[in-house]
Amino acid sequence: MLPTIFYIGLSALLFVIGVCGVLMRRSALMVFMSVELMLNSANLALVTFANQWKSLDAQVMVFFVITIAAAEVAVGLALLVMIFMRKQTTNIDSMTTLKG
Amino acid sequence: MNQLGFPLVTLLIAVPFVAGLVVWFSPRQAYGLHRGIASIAAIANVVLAIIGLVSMAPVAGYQFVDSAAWFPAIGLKYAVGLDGINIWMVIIATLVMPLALFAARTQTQERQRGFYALLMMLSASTIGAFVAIDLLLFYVFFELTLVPTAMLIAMYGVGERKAAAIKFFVYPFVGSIFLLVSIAGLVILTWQQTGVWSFDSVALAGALNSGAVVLDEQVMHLLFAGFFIAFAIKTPIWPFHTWMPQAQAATPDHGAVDIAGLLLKVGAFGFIRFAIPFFPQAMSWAAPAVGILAVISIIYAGIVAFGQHDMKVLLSYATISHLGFVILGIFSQTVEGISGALLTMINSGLTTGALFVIVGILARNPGGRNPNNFSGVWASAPKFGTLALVIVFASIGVPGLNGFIGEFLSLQGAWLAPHLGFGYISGAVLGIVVSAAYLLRMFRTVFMGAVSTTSPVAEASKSELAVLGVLVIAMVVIGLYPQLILQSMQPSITALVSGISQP
Amino acid sequence: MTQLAWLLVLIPAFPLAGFLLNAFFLRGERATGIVASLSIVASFVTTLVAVTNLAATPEEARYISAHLWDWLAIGKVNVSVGLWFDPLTAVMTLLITGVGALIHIYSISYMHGDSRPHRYFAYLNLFVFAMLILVMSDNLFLLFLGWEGVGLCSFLLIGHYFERDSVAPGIVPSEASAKAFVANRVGDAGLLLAMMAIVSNFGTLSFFGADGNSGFISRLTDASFITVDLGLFGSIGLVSGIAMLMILGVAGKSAQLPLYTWLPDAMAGPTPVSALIHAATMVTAGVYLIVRMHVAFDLAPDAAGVVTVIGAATALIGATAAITQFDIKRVLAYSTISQLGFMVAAAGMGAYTAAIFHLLTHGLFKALLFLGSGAIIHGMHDIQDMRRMGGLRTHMPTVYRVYLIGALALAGIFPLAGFWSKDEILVHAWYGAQNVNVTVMLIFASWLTAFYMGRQMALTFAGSTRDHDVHPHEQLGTMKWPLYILAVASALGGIINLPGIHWLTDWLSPVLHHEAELFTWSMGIFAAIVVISAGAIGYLGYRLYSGELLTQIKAGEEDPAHYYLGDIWKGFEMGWGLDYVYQRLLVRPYRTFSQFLSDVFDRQAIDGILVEGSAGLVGKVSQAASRAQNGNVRTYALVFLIGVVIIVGYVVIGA
Repeated sequence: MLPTIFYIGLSALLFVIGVCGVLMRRSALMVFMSVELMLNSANLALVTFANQWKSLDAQVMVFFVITIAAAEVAVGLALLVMIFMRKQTTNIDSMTTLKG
Repeated sequence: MNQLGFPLVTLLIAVPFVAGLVVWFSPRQAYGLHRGIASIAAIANVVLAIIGLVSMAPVAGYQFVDSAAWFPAIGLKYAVGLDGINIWMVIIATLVMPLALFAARTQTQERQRGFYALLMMLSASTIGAFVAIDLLLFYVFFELTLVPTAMLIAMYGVGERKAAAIKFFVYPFVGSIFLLVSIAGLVILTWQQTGVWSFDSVALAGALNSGAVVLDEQVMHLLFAGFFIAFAIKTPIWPFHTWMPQAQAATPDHGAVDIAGLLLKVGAFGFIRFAIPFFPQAMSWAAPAVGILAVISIIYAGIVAFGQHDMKVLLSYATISHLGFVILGIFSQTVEGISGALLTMINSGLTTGALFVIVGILARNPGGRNPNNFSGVWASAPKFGTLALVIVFASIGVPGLNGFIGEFLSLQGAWLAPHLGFGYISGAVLGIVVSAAYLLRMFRTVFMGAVSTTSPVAEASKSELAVLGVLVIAMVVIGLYPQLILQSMQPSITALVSGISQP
Repeated sequence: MTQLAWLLVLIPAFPLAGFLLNAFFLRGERATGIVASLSIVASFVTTLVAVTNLAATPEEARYISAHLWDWLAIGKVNVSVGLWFDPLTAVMTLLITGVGALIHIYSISYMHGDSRPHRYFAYLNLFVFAMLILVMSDNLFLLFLGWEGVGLCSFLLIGHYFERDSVAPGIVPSEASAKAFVANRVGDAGLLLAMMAIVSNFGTLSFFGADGNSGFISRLTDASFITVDLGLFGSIGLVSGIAMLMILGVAGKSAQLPLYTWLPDAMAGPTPVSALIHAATMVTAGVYLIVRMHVAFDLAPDAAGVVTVIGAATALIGATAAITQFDIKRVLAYSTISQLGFMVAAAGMGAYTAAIFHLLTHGLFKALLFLGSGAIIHGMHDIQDMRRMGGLRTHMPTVYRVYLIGALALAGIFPLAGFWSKDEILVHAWYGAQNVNVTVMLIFASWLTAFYMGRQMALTFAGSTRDHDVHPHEQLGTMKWPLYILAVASALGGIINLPGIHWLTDWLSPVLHHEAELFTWSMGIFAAIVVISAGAIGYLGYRLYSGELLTQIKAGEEDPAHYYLGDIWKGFEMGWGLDYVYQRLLVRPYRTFSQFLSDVFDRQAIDGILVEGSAGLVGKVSQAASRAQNGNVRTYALVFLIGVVIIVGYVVIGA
């Protein structure tokens, strides 16, 4: 068993990659996948801590996150498809309807 | 429950409210039904108000109180009642509704469902504001009056109705935010000092006057300022008045909305009902400055009215001018002044209401609302002209008719008040000259001169003459025997004023 | 209430009943006229009965009072609707109902063929009612009701021909009526302030109180030392202040300087109206008010001085304006202003009896003159311009005779009524008040009076007809009886206060506490000089305009005197240009100012800058804030991230 710090390090790395992905990618699909990556890095952290403290609470939380992520993917992808059908693009820079 | 055995005051609010809902949800094509329900409700309300007046005991304090817990945790109650001060406001508020419905007889059938529903809602909210004892309840009604009126202007108005409706809504609304802050401040300060949560205006006034709650002078002035801004805009006092002429320029020609809105004197009423008992010292402190604003209101609005080309706008400025007298009377904090102020409000409802009916009758003609398009109406419509003459002179304030008594008492009160005095009166008295000038100018242009060939006006119909005649009789009766009204106010006003003089 | 009190109530009740009948039920021309006249006659008879009863009461409590109902009882304002009948009221009431009845009867013929006779008579009855209330009121508040009521009736009657665009001499009736009302309102504002000052300081508006001795008048003496601080304007005695405010009311109602400009235009009304309202009764209300409030003026010499100066100046201005007019009614209108000046000046000098005496005689002969001019206008087919008259002596002999009596009475020729009353004023000015300036002004004014009456007689009756298109005729009908009665009264009216007999002085002494002055020979000589000089000047006026100047009088042209006096004459003709000045300095600027306020200031400054401006400011701020909202999801995410970093950093480092 590796020390906890390595798992947390990996989780942090994944999270940062996710953040960078969200901030830098233009394709909505890629942003979406980056968000998933961030969720999963959190999952990894949760599982690690559950292992560390021998507690099931965090693992329960992981199930929640996975469920929510699944739901989110279902809704999000549907939205994406609709947007693509309307705009013929998934470039998020071109979606500025909310501009004030 | 009260001495009558039925919730009179609640019914006063509920009858028009329910009638409004029924009209709203009735079939669109049931034209007769809309007007019928509204008329029945309006007349039922008049009857209820008169029952209240007749069975009222001549003592100070609220009677027929309906009270129920609303949100007990913070002492919020639904509490309504009548006393000598608001009973007459309620009477006139119920009386102007049949008049408004009468004026609305020319409203096109296709669009009348919403119109009548909104009129009823306006009536319910106005009466609610007059009878509320609980401060927050008052605030709710105070705000609620804006909604139906703004919708009436926006949906049924003429000209720049949308802009006028928005200004009508937003301007007083912004002002009343300060009122809400002050109410909250007052309630919280009371809670901090006595440990009791209460929005009950009687309890709050009692706590403030008995010294159970002591306000720092600075704090008192700030709280008063919140009340003042809200009420001054709503009244309106110069220079907060501009929403009113603009709104009235945009109301439908027949004048129903203006008439129904006449008794929207919730602002001036609020000064009497809440500002005087809560902050008598702050009122005296502010009186010299407010007195100047009131005098400016009287004269300025009178001068502006002289230059108007729209009779409705002219009447709107006339109302602002009359309200200057009301404010002077209120800020005098004397029995004479407050009685005069209340009487002037009632008179303004009667007289200006009648004038709006007259303008409504005139506006059916090609001449519209511009007095310069008319001439010689007195010759072509002699009875109508004569009734108009009496009403115009009542509004000018000729003794023997109603207007004079109210103005005299307001001014007399202000003269007697230690913080106002005759300097203000010598300015305000110019108001009786300018009012003669602008009203006679209108009367002269429209009713005198050679009969116009382009826009001849036929004699008004029998029902119109009858309605105006009844109003004229009321004006003469009030003018010659004002004690009829003043007597029933006396105990409440004396109690109000003696509350001031207590340490 | 006692029987006597009910009698009092009947006096105004008859005209009121007449008004109601005419206003609501009667429509036929004959019926309205007869009912209206009968109601005033009944009122006159009732007054006579009341006066007889009054004379029977002991002199120290010579009054009848009737309390009807409480009008107002709020705080310090306690006002009742109550009537008061004392010797002063009695003579006023007799004049109002007596002359009023005659003018009503005269009107039946004069208004024959009018399109709205019922309205005319209704207004006339209402006027008499309001005037009676004015003089019979037992308190200032009810007096004010009558005061404004007569103003309202004056408005209605001046505007009787409201549908005409112009009546001779070029007056717009609707404009003249509004002008009269607004000018009166300026005065009324003063009276209103005086009333409020009285309430504030005395707590009552009743003149004498229920027992005749508890009203504010008896308390004025105690208050004479109170002064009121006016801030920047110094200070003034309370009683003086009240009196000064009342002077404003007097100036408005009695057409005195500076508010007299409405009266000449008031001639737009039917001629009997001018006779009743604008000569005999309403305009004398101011004089009545001063006499009623004489205690205040006695206590306030400064205010009384102002009254005297206003009266004398008005007498002179009115007289100079009257000599230049060509409109037959305008001459009489300016003459009325001038004669009212005499009364006001007399009242100012403390000669209250003389003022009332002149008020009574003037009411008689000026009513006669107006009714006579009405007969002339009637006979000339609505021509009022004296340049188009001339030679009416042969066409209208009856009118000529009565008019001559009126003119001589007005000119103050011995032994007609005007001589005695005017002479009493002049004698008092010279011997009593010893005010040389005022005496000179008044004597000069009475010379001018004689002159313009001579001129008017010459222009109307002397010579031959100048306008050959009109065929004057004398058709008086029932109009002649009022003329005869008034002519007799004008001739003999002086009897009521002859020196040595002084019935009027004795009658009024319970109110005014005046003793009749001793008649001396020097006074007689003074009077003789005045009357002879006035007679000479009057004859001069007659000769000039019936002789040398007559040939130069042509319709539409200037008076020959204009050639000699030029612009001075023109200025006189315009009533010293005060009307012009008001038009230029007040009316037009007011109109412009009002337009400016409503179109520019109210919309742009108050609404534009204050209201819309503050709303706009909020809008600007929110617009600036909304720039941050660029719609780019990644920017939002970045801001979000920064926020998270800051919060987490704060928690980690701070904790």
